[in-house]
Amino acid sequence: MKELTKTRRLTIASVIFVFILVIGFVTFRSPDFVYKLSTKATLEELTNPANIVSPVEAREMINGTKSGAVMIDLRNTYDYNKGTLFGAINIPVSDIMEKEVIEMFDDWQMQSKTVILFAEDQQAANAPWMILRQLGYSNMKVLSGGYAIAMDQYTNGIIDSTDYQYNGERPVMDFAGFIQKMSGGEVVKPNPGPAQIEPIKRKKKSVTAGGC
Amino acid sequence: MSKVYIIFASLLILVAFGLVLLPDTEHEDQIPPEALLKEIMNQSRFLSADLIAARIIDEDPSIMLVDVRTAEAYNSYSLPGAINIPLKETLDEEWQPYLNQRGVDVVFFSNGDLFADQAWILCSRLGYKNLYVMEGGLNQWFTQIMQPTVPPDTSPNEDFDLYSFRKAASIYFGGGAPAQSTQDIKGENIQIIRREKKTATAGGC
Repeated sequence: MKELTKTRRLTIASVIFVFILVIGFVTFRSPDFVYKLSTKATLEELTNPANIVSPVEAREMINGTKSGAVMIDLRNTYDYNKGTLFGAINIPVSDIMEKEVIEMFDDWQMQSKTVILFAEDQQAANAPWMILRQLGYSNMKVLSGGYAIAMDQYTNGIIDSTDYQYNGERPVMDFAGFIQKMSGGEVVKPNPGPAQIEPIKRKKKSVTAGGC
Repeated sequence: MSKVYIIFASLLILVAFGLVLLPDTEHEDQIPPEALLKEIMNQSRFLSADLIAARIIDEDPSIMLVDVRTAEAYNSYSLPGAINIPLKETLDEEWQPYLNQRGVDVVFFSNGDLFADQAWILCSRLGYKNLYVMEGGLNQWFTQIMQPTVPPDTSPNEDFDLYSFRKAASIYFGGGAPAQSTQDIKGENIQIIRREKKTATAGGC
């Protein structure tokens, strides 16, 4: 009798154990969004000129011989209604990870359609582009300069398809020269003060994670 | 009875193998893409040049300026006290203690604000806190602070306060100063005078 209860307990325990594991598998939900690109790979993408499209190139890709690209206006709906480029589709930045939008992006990636993102300036389009690029959409590009500069180029007819420097990173003046001229002295070389570093102590991972 | 145990044991082994095959989605150090989207939509990461100038002048120890431009540009000119972490080296191991820390506000800047923002996004994905971007970068710094424009006479008092602050700051940072050695400029003889707020006599009824 004693032997019987003992085995029954063991059986019940193991049944429960297996049951819990099975439930775990069934209810396991993978996250909706996973980075497909590591931070290192993303950093390399940042310096890849193929990810930037100049306004003139964009016009070619929409209307010209290389047509077939899609324009996405990332500004808010109010600005979009006031005017946009080449019948762009309006997807405000807050909506880029909505289900329907992601389905659309997936379709375009399947058809290997080029998607050109733009906002008021390049910096505003860059952040959403970086997220989508990290999610694995390699067909996404950013319009160099953004809406304001593109409109200016199209209306004033400035054609400079080789210049990608609409991103505001070109220095407006010779900083060192300016300081030197104004102060009449030497330029103070940047001397980094003692930077206080207060490193974050990582939580020790539990030893059990290590295996044998 | 032993048959039952063998079945259970083999089941457990099977399930254990299943666990091994589970996708590796746990990135303890990284924030999920949804959270990153929320972060990028939050414009509070941008600090104005005026605010940063005031904090440098006050010798605020809780601010660390990070110049993300190339070493060449950094050596030619940079903001006082800034350290140089070129965008390409953002993820290098040696810089991580500087970027991933508490207690100090890390302010990225470049000529514009694109490259600084890119560095910001990369570090934010890694879950680093207290990161900021200097709005408009050095270009705005030089057009706003180093060459402040006099506001029109009809402007409110705040604009004149801001102008006099910028003028004083431009002297502090070396531009617009009379011919002096840089030592003097950095000395104590220059004081930024902030106007006391006048009492709102005009207000009451």
